[in-house]
Parts: sequence; C-alpha cells; structure tokens
Amino acid sequence: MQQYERWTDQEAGPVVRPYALTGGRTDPAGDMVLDLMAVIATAGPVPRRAELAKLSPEQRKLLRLCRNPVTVADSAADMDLPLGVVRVLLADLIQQGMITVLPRQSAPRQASTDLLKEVLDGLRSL
Amino acid sequence: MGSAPSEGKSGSSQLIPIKIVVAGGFGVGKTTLVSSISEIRPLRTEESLTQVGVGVDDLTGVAGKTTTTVAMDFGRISMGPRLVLYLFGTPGQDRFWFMWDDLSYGALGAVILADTRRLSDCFPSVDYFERRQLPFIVAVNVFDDAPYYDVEDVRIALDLDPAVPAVLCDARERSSVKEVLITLVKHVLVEGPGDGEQAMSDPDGLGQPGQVGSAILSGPRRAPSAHEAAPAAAGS
Repeated sequence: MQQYERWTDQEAGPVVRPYALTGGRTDPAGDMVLDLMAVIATAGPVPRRAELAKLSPEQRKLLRLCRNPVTVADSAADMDLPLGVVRVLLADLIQQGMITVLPRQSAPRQASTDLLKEVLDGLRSL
Repeated sequence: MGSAPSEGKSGSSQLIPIKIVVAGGFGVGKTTLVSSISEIRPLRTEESLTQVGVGVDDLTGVAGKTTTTVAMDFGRISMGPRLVLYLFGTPGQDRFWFMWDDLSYGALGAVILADTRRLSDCFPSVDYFERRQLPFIVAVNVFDDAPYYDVEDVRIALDLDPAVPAVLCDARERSSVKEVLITLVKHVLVEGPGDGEQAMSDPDGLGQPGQVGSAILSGPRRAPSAHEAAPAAAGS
C-alpha cells in the first residue's frame, strides 16, 4: 500500500530505533563525550578476523571510515547515524584500543594567529 | 619524492578542523547561508528529552517521548590538505538550547544571522555568545520584502558592543557569505579566540600521550553551563 511505503520514508526516520545499535545505551562508555571536532583514527594492530566478528556492522564501518583521520562530526554524517549513537559506538572502540583520538594541533598563541591568517587566506581564495 | 617529514602517526594530526557557529532565530536563513558556501550534509542527533532544560521545553503533546531528533546544518569547506572549515548551524527552536554548548565548544567564533522583521529573535544568541565570551559578528540577512534598516540601527537595537562588527548580507550569495566569514575571522584576529576551551590554543590537548585531553567534552549535556542562563532569554 502507498501508506506502507510512506511510513518508511526519510521523514519517518529509521525503522530501527537508533539506540538499538548501542544496546540501548545513550551515554558513552566512561562518560567519554567526544568533541564534534575531535580527530579520530584507527589505532593498534590490524584487528584479527575473530576480533572483527565480535563487532557490530556499524562498528566495522566506523573502523573503515577511520582509516584516515576524520572528525567525529564527519564520521557521524558519513555513518548517517545520530551523533549520540556514533559517540557511544566510538567510545567503545576507543576503549578497545581500536580507535584513538589524535592530539590537537599544537597551537600556542602565535600559532593560532598564523592559523587564523591561513583561514583568512583560504576564505579569500574561495 | 623525498618523504616529507612526516608528522608521525603519534604526532599531531594533520587534519586541522576549524569550527564556526551560525546562529540566529528560526527561519532566518542559516541553512541557506551554510549551503551557499559549503558542501552541506545532514547531521542529526538523538537526544534524551530529560537533558533538555526543564521549563524551557514545552513537553505538551510529547508525554512519553524520551528522545527527540535534532537536525543540524553541517557544512564543510576544505582549505588545502589539512585545514578544513566547518560551519554548524544551530537548531532554531528554543527547545534545542542544550545543543549550543556542544556546537560552541572550541569554536573559532560565531555569526549571528538577523532578520530585521524579527530582530528580537537574535537576542538569545547575542546573550549566549556574550556570556560565553565567544567572538561573534551580526550579519543582517537582507530579505527582499523586509524594510530597509541601516546597520547602525540594528546595532543600536541589539545594543551591541561597539567592537562587534555588524554587516548586511545576502545569505543566498556565495560572495556575500564569504565576506561575512572574512569579517568574522578578522574580528577574531583582533579580539583573540574565544573562551578557555578553544580548540585552537589548547595546551592540554598535547604532550599527554594516551590522554585525549579536551577532545572529550566535560559533558555539555550533563553539566549545563552557559546555556543555563540562556533559556531565560529564549523563553521571553
């Protein structure tokens, strides 16, 4: 029926409640609420097949996404999952040592001025 | 060819994300502004309603509902191999105030988009960023059918600090939006970056291997700070 199709459109949201993917948890492990702009990447040895098998498809996808450094916000958009859910999934992977949060760019005062000028130049050349 | 000195896997990340917040009332053109200059993608979050300020959120009709989906405008502008500028549009409705701390954390600065027909809509944003000491500018989105106001009138109406730039813009025009962002960055250069949490000069984020430092929020949803005061204004 038409109605059935409409029921599952984008407006209706996902068929699976998002937090079902986290086992119902809405708070990340260790209260690790990652900054939207935190840069994350895979870490540690390449996970064995058996280790991967223990992960959910979403976590495996996150691992693939994080092969190159990516921001938390980008990863959530790429996953097409709510930010809160991605934060929970990421916190688990970080605790397992599979993903790490990269240190921020070192930026004493002067460096941040240089960075601002770089942003300004970047904007001007848009 | 010669391998450039690698910053190393354990060194600083080569990706430098810079965040700018785009705030303003509902329907003022934030989405238009973000999409006219950046590659925009949907970013949503599913938040527990209990985190939403009591007394601010009108829970009528949502009794029994425990989470709500908030959609944010999320734009990305790549500036070379490492520098990436992110634009975050704040959710327009009052009940999403709790997202503001998350969005403002570590931001370079903010653009408050204003509509002269509903200037009072940006009072809460002005209050919020002043309180948070995040540098901001006001950009008046010139709507075709809106009465023309001089920027100075807007400045007076909003009781802006003389140092805060106010400009006219057309959120649909890429070049106009570009000027708005340039105005903001210049303002930040003069004023210095925002509060002590700014990502750009974050000594704690470094030199502590194994520690992620301030990449982890103190939990904006659990520890209400600046936004606590803001809803009072939002509710008016």
